[in-house]
Amino acid sequence: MLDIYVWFYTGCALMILGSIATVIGPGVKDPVIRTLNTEVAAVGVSMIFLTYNHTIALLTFVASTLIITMILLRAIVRLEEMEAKV
Amino acid sequence: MAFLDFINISTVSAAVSLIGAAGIILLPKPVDKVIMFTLLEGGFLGMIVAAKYLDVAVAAAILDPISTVILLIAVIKINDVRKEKLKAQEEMNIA
Repeated sequence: MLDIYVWFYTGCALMILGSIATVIGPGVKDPVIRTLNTEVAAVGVSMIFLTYNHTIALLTFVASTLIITMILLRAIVRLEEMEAKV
Repeated sequence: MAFLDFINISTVSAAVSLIGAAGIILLPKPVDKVIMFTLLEGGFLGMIVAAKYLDVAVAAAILDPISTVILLIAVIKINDVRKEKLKAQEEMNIA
């Protein structure tokens, strides 16, 4: 039963790496790059859901990540059009 | 052949997703980041299949490319907006 540990530790590694990269990664002055870095942490959380067999939570989380990415990117483009100071 | 025991669908998927995560974090250009994000999602899909949750795998396989397309559209659009802003600024400087 090595498989479960592979999923769990990969998820933990992705979560920690993604969180650190979102805060102090290369080029995070750009909001698009920061939003893309948060996706790494989101996939890590999904892998931990998979380890604990929470399939409904996994499905909902993937779908809501998609919707929240859509809204965030729309907001970023809109703010850039309005030349607001973010 | 002891090391062949490590080659199964879980470890290969874990390797693919770690490569994708490293690519997302280290590559500077947004389009490269989107390509590496697809690699990360591919590894994640492999892990769901290794867990034998094939119904979840169907849903994730539909939702992930939508996310990639949205990211690509956003990157293209924000490039357009920035280019136009730069052009407007140059015209203002000339005039």
